[in-house]
Amino acid sequence: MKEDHECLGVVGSRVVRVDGLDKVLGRQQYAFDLSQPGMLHAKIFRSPYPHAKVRKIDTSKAEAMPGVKAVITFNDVPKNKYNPWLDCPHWVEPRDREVLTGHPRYVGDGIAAVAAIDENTATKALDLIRVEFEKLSAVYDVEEAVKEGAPLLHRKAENNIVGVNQSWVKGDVSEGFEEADVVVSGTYETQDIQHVPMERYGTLATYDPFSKKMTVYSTTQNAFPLMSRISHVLEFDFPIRVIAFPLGGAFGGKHELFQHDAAACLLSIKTGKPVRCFLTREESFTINKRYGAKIDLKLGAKRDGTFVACEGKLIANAGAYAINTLANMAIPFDMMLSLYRFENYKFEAIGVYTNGIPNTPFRGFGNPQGKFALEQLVDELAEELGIDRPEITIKNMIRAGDIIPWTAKKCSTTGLIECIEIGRERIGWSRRRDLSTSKGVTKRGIGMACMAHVTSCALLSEGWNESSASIIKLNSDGTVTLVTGASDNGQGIFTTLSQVVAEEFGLPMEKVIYSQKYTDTETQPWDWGNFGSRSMYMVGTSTKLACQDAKNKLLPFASVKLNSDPSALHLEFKDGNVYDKANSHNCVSFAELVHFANETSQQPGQILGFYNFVPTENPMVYAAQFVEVEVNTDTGEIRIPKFVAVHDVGKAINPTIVEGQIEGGIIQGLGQTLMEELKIDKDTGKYMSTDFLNYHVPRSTDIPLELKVIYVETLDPHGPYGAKSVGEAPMVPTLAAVANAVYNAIGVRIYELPITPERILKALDKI
Amino acid sequence: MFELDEYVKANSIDEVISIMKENKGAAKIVSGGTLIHELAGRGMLDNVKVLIDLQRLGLNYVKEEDDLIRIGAMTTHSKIHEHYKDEPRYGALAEAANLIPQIRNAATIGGCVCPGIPWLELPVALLSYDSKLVVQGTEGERLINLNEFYLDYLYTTLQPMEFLTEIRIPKPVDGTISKHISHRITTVGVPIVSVAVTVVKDAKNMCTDARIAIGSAGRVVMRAEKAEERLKGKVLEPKQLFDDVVEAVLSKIKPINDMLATETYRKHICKILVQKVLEELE
Amino acid sequence: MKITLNVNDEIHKIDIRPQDNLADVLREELNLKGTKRGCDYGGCGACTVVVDGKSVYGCATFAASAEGKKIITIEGLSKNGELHPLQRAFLDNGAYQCGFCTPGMIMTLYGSLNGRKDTSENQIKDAIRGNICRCTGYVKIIEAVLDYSKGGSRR
Repeated sequence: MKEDHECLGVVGSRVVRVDGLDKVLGRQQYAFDLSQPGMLHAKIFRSPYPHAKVRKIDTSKAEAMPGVKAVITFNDVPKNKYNPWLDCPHWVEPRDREVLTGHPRYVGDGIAAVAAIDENTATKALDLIRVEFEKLSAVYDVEEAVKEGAPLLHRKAENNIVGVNQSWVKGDVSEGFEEADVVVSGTYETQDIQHVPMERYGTLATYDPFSKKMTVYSTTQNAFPLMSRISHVLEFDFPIRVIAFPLGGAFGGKHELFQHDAAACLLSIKTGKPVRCFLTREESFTINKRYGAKIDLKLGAKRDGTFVACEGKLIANAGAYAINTLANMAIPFDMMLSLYRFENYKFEAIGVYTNGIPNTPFRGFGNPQGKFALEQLVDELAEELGIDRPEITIKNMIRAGDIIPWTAKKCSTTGLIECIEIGRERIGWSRRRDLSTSKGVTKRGIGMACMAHVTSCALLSEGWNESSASIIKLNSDGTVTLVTGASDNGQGIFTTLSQVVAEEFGLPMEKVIYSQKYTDTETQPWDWGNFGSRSMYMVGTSTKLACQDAKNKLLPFASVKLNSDPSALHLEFKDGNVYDKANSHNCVSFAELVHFANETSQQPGQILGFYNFVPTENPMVYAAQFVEVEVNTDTGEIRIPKFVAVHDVGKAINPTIVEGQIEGGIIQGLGQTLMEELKIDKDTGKYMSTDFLNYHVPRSTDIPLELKVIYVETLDPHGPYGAKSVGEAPMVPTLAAVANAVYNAIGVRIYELPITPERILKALDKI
Repeated sequence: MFELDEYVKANSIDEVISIMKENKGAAKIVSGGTLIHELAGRGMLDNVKVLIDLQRLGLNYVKEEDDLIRIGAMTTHSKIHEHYKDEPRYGALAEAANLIPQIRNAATIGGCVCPGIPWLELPVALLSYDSKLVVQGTEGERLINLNEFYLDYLYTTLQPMEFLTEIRIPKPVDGTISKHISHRITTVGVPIVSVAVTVVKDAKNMCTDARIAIGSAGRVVMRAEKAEERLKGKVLEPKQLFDDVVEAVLSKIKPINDMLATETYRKHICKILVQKVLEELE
Repeated sequence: MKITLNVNDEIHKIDIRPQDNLADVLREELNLKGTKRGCDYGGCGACTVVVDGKSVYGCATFAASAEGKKIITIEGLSKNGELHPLQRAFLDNGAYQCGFCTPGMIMTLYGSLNGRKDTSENQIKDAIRGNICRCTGYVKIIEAVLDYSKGGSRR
């Protein structure tokens, strides 16, 4: 059941997506579908060893193979190390990646690349590349990697440490624990998982030797940053244009300047032809991952439930390259402090290199791992104290007006209490005690978890801040064109932005033209990309304010048409007309007004609106998820009869889209909780789960029997129409909510993910 | 890399055999194609140069005769499932054929009997029926007991120049009940254990004959003969204890540790499945 | 080898390699890009097409074996500018996000439901369990099909 909320008009209504027809007709174009005349196909030659140095490489046989047009190796590419995620002067993340490497650090690391007339030829050519490797010892566990004498992955990283962050300190935790009446602690371990977007990773690079210009069609979430990185890292002195078609999913995995992006670009220059380099599903499983974490957490509270001290240490298995490990490993503790107040705290996060798949952002950006630990520990504490679980959260939660440590700003809105109250009622929280005493093979339980998460990357990192810009064009035919650099991973941002425009100008959706069906660095204003749950807040705000700018410019023309004094005139845009707010009978049609302004007035020229939004706030979002589980204590299987998720979204610009994000995020969360895992063979360093037979993602038959998604609108003052984020939040509390429900059902707590049937049976001493 | 010289749709049994002879092991039968693609994608069919498609041989049928069921090798899982889904005597067949839609619409009974892959399910069901295989070869037609067909992982008694055309099942007598059950880690995927049981009950619900077949629990699908003996003579009623039957099954199977499940878990699940199936036979 | 394929009621004479699969042939030879490739061999369902009325994995079907059969792809579902009711139900219920799995999902349902109404939620889940969706969590897809089953669109 969906709650009814006040409709503004277009904003707040279940508008059918502007790209909906393309999707259901199979007409949506993806980078995967692109093809150009004369196009070559490229494949990457990847290291079969987890850690090695290339002593000799001979590509002559591959180059001589009929159909092969070019081969490049790590010897032929720019040597400077770079950071694949972002590239700006103050960026603190390690620059440790190479375009192609002679020192592969994980099985799959790219050493060379081949371009040929078709994929088969390129694949066969890889077998003709002769490499003499000096094998080095490899390390896969973080504990082993930091020991003296462990094989070193990067010269600058002593003991394979990417970085240590000890910045979270308040008060004195030892004193705090002394004062505490109850102290609980635990060690929690989460696994490596892959994003598994349905569209794999790839690029089509087209260098035109005549105009000396390159256009790159990439499955990227960050078209603009990719453009600048291609330019800097590959040392190109000609214009680069990046076009990113709407993605077939990303979930944070498609940020980087990948080796296949770089190889496609370089091969295109070398051959003078378009070069397509798309990864197989097997390659896509091993290109990047969410880091597995080991979290030690200790929590002390007074008898009345007040949190007096919290101490924690997180070790992130960064894999072979850092990408943005430092930011990624900091989020868990930042978000703990955004959810609860602690009188004293001390946290430490450490990122460690290992010879495995490099970690990268993934929906939630470290927060799911952090909440898996925190929300289970809080659960334990509540039980120790004999305090009702939801009450302990409400007692300690960050309230509106509290300062959030990492932003140093006040929490603007929180709907957490409402989320908890609605959720506990809908799940039937009061059934919990009876449920968990059920006899028989099937044990039942209910659990809950809460979360706080960000809205955009504002204030997140020293060295760069957020910005987004929008351009509005008012057209003489009464339509409005919106131009932004927003990026679509599949969540429908072009639609919600169009809704904002339609709302602002009182027009139906058909009158709003979203200028292009893809992100284009050449014709659109800079946008950082689609990640960090930023798009609606950032581009939605710049769009709303660009509309305002256009309206301001329209005012003098309206005053002419409405025969009013411009200094006293306030306009209302509704139903395709423009009204004098003071006198609703005085109006002119929007189309007529714009036509006048643009063409026939004394000051003709198309009305353009522009706004560049630089945020000063990062409004937090909150949620509570409640899960009922059934555990078969014979087989260890878990079924979920009921799942209730209540999310504070600020304002649901499009309820269908908002619900879709929550539903999808929860199911993805169930994937991490119950079944997904990238498994490495420690003898060879190879990953064993590289197809859908061995890597399980949730299917239609795995979802909860009943999934209730409810959103709460707190109407945040900082977001467009009050909107905050919703993209990442749904996956964040799911892991802990299920783990808590399982504990309630079987009386044994599971500290590791995924919670597989075997883990359950081992916990019950059945096997 | 999987690359063919030829994809041939054979028009007769003789043509199939002559192509096989001509290509000396580089020719392989293709029926539904689903498994071939899995194997080819994993680099296991790089030596295959010719595929012989049997779709023109009219082998897509389910025929019931007086004492025999004859299923053509090209019959899809879908057809078998639809045909038998409401018939308790053929429960194991129907349930084992109920794969995910896109697979069951294409995958054939012949294509899953022949490879000798122990986690495929229809062979487990067939093994619980005294099934026989009709194969054609250079020496003509011969009949193979399915119970003697699987020698080892991917290794059967099918000779290089032979191919399967039909599976024959003795028509189940009155009082036959048959069930198949398998266990997966998630709802879709390779089963980690599968069990098929076909029994004959008399008027007093006593088991007079039994076949118990297990899949994914060793290098081959197998019968648990000792368990079958123990089941015979038991009355199939709610109070019945099957511990000795279960124990006999467990002593026969040799499950492996792999990425999906450990040997311990497989044994544990096998115990539960066998118990469950036996209880459901009442 | 030369084959003739009947795709969306049109006859195409094409030249393929003997090992080519149907999904790749539809995409590359016939330029019907609606059918997608999400994995390497028969695991995700993005390539599902309907052959002789049954939904199959296009990537696990030899194009040569599909000769002489009636093949329908997502492009063949709508007629004369009208969406097929399944497509209409997906559109109206927001049963898609990135859309990459959508053609395969719709074709699976087209092949499984065969116009049949009154399907239960369990039957729908069973029908699409061979199709992976990473975005929607399947919830709105199931709602769309229930909508379609009742003979109309909710909106």
